[in-house]
Amino acid sequence: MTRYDLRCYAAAAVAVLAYSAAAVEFGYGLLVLLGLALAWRISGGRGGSPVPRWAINVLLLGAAVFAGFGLLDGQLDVNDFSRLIGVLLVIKMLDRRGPRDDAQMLALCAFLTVGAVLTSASLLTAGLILVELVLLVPAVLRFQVAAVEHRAFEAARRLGTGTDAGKESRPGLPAVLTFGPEVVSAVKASGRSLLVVAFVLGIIVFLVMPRGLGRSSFGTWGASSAGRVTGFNDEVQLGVGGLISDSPEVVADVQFVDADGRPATGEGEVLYLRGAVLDEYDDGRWVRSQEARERSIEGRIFMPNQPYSITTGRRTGEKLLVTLRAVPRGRSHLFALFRPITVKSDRGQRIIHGREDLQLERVGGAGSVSYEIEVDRFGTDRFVAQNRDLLLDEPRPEELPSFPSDVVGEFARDLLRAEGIEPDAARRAREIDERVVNLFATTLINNYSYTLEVVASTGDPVEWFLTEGRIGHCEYFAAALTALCRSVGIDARVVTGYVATEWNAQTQHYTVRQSNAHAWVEAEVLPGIWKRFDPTPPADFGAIHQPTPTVWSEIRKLIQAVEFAWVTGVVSFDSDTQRSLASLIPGLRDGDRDNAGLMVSPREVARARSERRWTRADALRFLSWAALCSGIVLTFAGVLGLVSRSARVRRLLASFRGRARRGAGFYEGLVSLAAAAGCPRKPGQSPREHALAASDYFGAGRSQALAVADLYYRSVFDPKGLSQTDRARAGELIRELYRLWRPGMRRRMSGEDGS
Amino acid sequence: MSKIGAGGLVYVLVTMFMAIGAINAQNNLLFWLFGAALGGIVSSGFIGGMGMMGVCASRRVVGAARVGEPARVTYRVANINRRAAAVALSFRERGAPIDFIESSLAGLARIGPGDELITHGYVLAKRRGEIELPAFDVSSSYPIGLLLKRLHFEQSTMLLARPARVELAPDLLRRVLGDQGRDGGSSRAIGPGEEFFGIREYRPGDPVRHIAWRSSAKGSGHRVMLHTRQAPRALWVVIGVRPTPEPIAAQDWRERALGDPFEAATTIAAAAIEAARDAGLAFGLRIPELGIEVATSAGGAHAERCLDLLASASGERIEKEAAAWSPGSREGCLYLHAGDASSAPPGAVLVDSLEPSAVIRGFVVDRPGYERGRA
Repeated sequence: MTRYDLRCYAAAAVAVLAYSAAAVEFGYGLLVLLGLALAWRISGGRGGSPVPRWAINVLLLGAAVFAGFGLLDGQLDVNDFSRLIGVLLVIKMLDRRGPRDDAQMLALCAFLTVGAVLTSASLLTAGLILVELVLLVPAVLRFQVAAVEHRAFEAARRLGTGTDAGKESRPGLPAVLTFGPEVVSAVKASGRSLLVVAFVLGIIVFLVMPRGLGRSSFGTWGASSAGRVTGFNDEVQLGVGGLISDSPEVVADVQFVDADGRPATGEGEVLYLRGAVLDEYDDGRWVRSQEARERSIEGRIFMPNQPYSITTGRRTGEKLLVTLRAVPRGRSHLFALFRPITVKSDRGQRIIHGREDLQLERVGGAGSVSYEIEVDRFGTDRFVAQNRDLLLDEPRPEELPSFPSDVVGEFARDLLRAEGIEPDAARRAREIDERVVNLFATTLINNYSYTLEVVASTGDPVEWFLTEGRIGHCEYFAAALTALCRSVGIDARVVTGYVATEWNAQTQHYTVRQSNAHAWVEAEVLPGIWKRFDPTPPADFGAIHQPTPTVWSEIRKLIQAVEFAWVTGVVSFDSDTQRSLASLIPGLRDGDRDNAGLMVSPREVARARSERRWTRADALRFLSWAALCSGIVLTFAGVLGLVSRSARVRRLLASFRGRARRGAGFYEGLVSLAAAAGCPRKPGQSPREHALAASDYFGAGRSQALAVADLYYRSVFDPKGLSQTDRARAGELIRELYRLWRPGMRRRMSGEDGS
Repeated sequence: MSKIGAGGLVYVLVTMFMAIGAINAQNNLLFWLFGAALGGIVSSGFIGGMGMMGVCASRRVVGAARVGEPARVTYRVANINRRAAAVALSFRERGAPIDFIESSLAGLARIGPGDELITHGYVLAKRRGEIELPAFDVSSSYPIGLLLKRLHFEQSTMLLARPARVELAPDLLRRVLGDQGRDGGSSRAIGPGEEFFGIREYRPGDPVRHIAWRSSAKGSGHRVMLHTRQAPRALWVVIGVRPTPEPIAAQDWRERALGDPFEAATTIAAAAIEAARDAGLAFGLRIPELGIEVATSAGGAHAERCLDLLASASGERIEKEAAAWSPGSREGCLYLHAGDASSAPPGAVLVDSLEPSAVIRGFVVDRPGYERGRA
């Protein structure tokens, strides 16, 4: 097993790991890794040989059938392709016979890497891809050398020359054995250069590539994590899992800031991020009513960061900043606090919001979405305080809300009677409604048990929960409270979304996971005034959403801080961030700042370009960008080069010191003396040729110049270097030459020689 | 000159795929990967181009070529670039007629800046005669196989391919020479032996250790001692077959030998000369149709000369009246003919070139109509 073999196997293994981590298909990853290990055992180790052709053909046939079924199902997407590539990789590893097989194997590794990027843009994926590149590039370089030698060997053997074209060894890679230290050194140097250039150019493209153009022109492919289940459901089916996911996968990163951009919340504060508002119940299922759907308003954000009004209200400046890490293409929910006023997004898209329930949805492409919602958290309280009397005087509607269950209605009325509250809404004062809802919620909190288990119910799930089961998860609690409220004429609705509880002090943001999916209730406590109630027992809520800090949770927070930086800095890098960066560049016009990378359609871009002229500001901008890019390139190249070649740098410095000690610097004196006088050393000219040319030029000092050149040769090629006497002699010769050539130099400088 | 190869095409397609994917989905990681792929393209051109810019090369064919045997070609490579090494170089012959020659690749893993190295490749001559190797290429697809950079060197070299090496029937020479020379004691010749023969004037080139110092001291100049050795028996190889103006096109020399009696005759003649050389005999070569006659002599150099003449023997028949010729009393004659042996000298052993399998061991042609060799 050579180092080249090891690199190939390592590259294949990391490519598989990257994809399985990106697609969260660890079972598949484990299987393929086992396959690779098997391939190593069979065909990779010392004395190993490729699997027979017929077996390879059978395996390929199996893979083709696998792909064919996927194609027939019409679901041959990036994941299917990537899985197929993983299988082909294992087959190819079993069938390494020559350079062509190795080339295919390395290409498959590259394809799998691209598949991983197309699947997920998580930090783990990015890290693994970086490792993959570091392994893959040297493997490709070594392959190029090995392939040349192998082809020469094979061609010579075909002509019947025996083995003197290379060493006889196992089929596949005989030439690798001829890798000498100089070849390895050259390959390493090339690999470093290639990686540095690729890395730096990757950053430049990442920074300057215009964002927003051509989005979703070819469908959804290329969007990482598109269509992933998030743990949030826009309807509640009791008895079925959905909101009880305990997956720690991060769904969103959330910040809530005041008008000055400072965090408006902190440790211990919980944000209820509203998603779906469900106001219709039918046989254990809460959905959004058709009426609410029809009364929704549809608008459009045309430009990134264009504010879109949802409600009229006091502009508080408080903003909820949300980055959803993966949203599917098409219609999906935007999570917001109550009560949203405006929404801005990082991309142009359709916005649909409920006229009354203020449910927010978007229609757009897949991928990561960042948006900003201005909210008026205390607007309702303020309104109630100012208009309480008016609200209380308003009569109840003729058709009161109800719940289609006598059992639930009787249950609710019994509870109210026990507290001496009038169950009949028509005869009950409006101001009592909030107390009624609180009573119901307290009853549920105190007398019902919480469980994450999916509870099997008999009959109507709400009835079952209230009267028999008395155990369930947040959906049951929310559904029961809503049902109880409606049974006594108080309008209520189930709200599903996420609770942001996991505050990260380092990054001043909340991390929202799938396990933070939650359901709660909004009840109309006064006419048009909706208030949030959470009937889930607080102890259980805290156990699930606010676990006690442990060492592991702190470590996880630290990791999340890095991940947050990755998501906000890289994954969510958009035209806005691009514009912010561009604004740092002096000379950029304001209009350019506004438009940098924000063109929304090719037509607009074309029009803008046709109207623009090359101005001084443009030139400055170009120069600034060029300087920035060059700076980045040089900085990265320098830093990475120094880090990776620290040992070499030390050797280099030592060699410089040695060279100075050995006294070769006198030759620079000769070169600069000749150059100053008009006879510079030409590229490719040997020291001796230059010495002769210079002495001919001045017509003097031939022997001295030649002696200096000879001493230089000795200083370079003699391992012992120059003696003290030689160095003194060299200095004397240089001084002598200076005396001899000085008149010529003077003539030249004063132009007396007419040249 | 550079061209994009299959691997490069795949690379470019994948890069384009990534670009479209990145734009379509605004996937930032894909943007970065696309940039990295572009970086690969840029550095590939730079690293590969820099390495190839300083490469100079020359080549020569080492030793004699034989039909059906690979001949070694040496490439002397220098890298005059002072900074960049050239890596993964391939050497390939260009322009040689594929009916005449098959060339292999030569490879060189690395040549450092300012270095000069030698690498070897092979060519396989498919037919006898002078073959021109007009040019060769040095190419490299280093570092990532994206572009194949190629340097073309127009350096014409002639390769002289001798007839194929075959083994003759073991009793052929005995049949030719009969019992001649068995009384070796009575036939001696001047040469490197132990028995003193005489003294003569020194000639330039005479070994110093042969100088007779005592005799030289008496006279005005140097003198050398002459010795005698066992006089070799002599073998005349005579090709009485007319050369074919248009040799038949055939991939395998055996097929050519079957279709062209002159080719078969040169092959048998070369084998006979080598056998005579190995047996320490003197040998001579006559091809009356081409006016070629090499007097009998012994030794490797003489054999090389005869083989080279056999290699290059071709051309128009010389129309002149051949003088009557017959081998000496101590000389045997192997006469190769193509069905007409009327010009054969008396006493010659006749070999029909139309039936090479009769004298060449293991002469097998897997073709219908031909029987397995009898030798």
